[in-house]
Amino acid sequence: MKLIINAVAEEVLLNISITTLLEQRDIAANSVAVVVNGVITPRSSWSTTICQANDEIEIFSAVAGG
Amino acid sequence: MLTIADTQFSSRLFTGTGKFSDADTMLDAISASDASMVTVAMKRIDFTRGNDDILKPLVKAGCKLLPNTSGARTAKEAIFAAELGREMLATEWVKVEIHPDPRYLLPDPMETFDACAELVKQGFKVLPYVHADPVLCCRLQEIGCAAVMPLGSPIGSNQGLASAPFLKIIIEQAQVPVIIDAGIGSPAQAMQAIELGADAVLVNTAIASARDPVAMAACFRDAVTVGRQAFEAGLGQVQTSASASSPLTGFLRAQGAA
Amino acid sequence: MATGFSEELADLNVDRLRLALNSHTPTSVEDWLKHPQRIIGNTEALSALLSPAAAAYIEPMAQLSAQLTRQRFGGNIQLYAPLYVSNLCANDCDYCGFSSHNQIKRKVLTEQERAAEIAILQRRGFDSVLLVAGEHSRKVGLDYFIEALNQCASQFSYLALEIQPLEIQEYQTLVAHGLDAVMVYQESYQPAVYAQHHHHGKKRDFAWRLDCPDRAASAGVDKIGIGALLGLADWRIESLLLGHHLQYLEQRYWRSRFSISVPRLRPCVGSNIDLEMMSDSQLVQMLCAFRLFSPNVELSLSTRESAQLRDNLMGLGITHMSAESSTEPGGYANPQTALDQFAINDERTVAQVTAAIKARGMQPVFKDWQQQW
Repeated sequence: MKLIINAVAEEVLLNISITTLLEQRDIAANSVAVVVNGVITPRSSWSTTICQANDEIEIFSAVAGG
Repeated sequence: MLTIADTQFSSRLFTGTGKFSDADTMLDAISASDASMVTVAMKRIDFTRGNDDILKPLVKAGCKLLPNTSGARTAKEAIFAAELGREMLATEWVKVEIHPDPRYLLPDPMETFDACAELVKQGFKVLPYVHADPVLCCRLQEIGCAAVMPLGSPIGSNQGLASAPFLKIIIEQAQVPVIIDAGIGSPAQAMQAIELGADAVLVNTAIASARDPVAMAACFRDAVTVGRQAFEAGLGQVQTSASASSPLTGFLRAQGAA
Repeated sequence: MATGFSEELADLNVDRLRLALNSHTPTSVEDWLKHPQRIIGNTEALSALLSPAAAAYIEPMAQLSAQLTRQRFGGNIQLYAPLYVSNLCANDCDYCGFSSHNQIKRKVLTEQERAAEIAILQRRGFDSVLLVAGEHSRKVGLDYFIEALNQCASQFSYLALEIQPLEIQEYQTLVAHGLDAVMVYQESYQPAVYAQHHHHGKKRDFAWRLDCPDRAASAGVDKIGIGALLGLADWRIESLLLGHHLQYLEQRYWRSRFSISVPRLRPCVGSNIDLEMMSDSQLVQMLCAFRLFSPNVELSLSTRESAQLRDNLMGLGITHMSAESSTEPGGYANPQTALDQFAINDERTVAQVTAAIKARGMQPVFKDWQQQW
């Protein structure tokens, strides 16, 4: 199914959790924040949050800045 | 010992993490500065370019991480950024920085105030970046901000303490720590800020854009240390000439009062 | 929410403060005077300036005080008039003519009687008025003061009240009816001394009175006047504690301004208590010390003091003065003296006082500021 991750459309397997999504992209779980359809999704619920078709997922990390 | 919101800081120099030529230089410079707190911004990961993981080494260096809402142009965006930062770094601390004007990056007082009011209610420890406006700083303290961060001069301008007369008033009236942020361009200016009585300074551009950022960072470390020692030793006053005038209490002797 | 200054005062070690106060050396006083900027807001500096050692330095203190006052207040002396509206009092304070144990004729001015007083004060040119009443919540309470303020608001620009301490909501209500300032003097900042002189009534509650400035400032009152009754106890420690109170209020309530009064106990009906008299020279020392400690605080001197002393203190730091005062209810229209709260010393007319101010090269000011909307 289609997901939009950081504004880029991607195809993923069905029933993928946030945790798995991050693992697949080699993103360390303790360094990011995840927003699903405009709502910040707490870390504690990543393993149980299953992505739905056309979900807009934004993954933020800390970067160098001010 | 500097205390902000019940947390103690071993140094009065804070730094940003931006504008360094590369991550290694940034980490070396921060280490040389002995900064006890560093600000980090937040962005969507760019999968095509990859991201330096700056968090791990910073945490390892013993720096407290302060997420910054830079990029936000409204209170709503800043609140969202603060919530992201809380989630990402598991911290209640946030620097509220809202500048809708991309040219001078001057902070928006209204959006900042609104964002701070809401974030304090949500339990954040809020450090607002603002113009050196004494009344605004009083109001921000009133609503529960953990510190105030008035600017010395526009971000990146290296103009030093252009707002000095107002910084003095803020320092005099403050009931929370005052961290002078933005525009400090040289170690002497950082020292000046601390001598004025500021509790800490935040320096970014002056270190990051120096020819030798690591050496410059060490200079700032020393300047802040010496500035604080001078402040605590009690600086002498600039003498303004006193005009001679006739005695004002002679009348007491005349009436034989004790 | 903290109740107020009473909690801070409880944390102060008054014995240690008293010891330090009396131990300052001339050298330490000189050091402070060499760096007057450092005195501001510094209670240790205030302690040095109030100490016995500082007595030798009142001339340099006076010079600095005069300079600071002129910088901040120009050459202005703000004139105001007390308007006593009631001498009914439920308290028994052994130093006061209105004490409930005194057998004097009690009077609460009616609207008409207030109008007569107001007319006289208007003719004399006053625009700032201090309504004074004994403390009797039941018979002279919030409603009475609302009426009185309403009546005065159309006639005078600046209205102050010196009455019983009230609750925050009551101050909020009064502010809406034109209240600008509240004067509430703690009399003594030492609970043991305080208890000795207040025998009966709500005024026995030390903390309730002490936290009154907090309540008034929180309610948005523009100016709060505080003070100690000089003569109840050692003036130095009382002044130092008063300084702590001022510092606390100035830091916390940045929207308000503050005023210090320096009432020296004077003879009154029914009082024969032992007083610790404060000399003129000591009064000057105290005033100058406070000016150096707080460049912005207003320093007020009433007609309790002699004409000669008042004239000499203008220009030394005093910013506010009353003139041609009556301290009895209805005393402007019908002077009777037997009802005075305390005896007046400077009996000059307003015209004489303003002439004296001008003779000193200063400007008498009747109107401070006016709300335009």
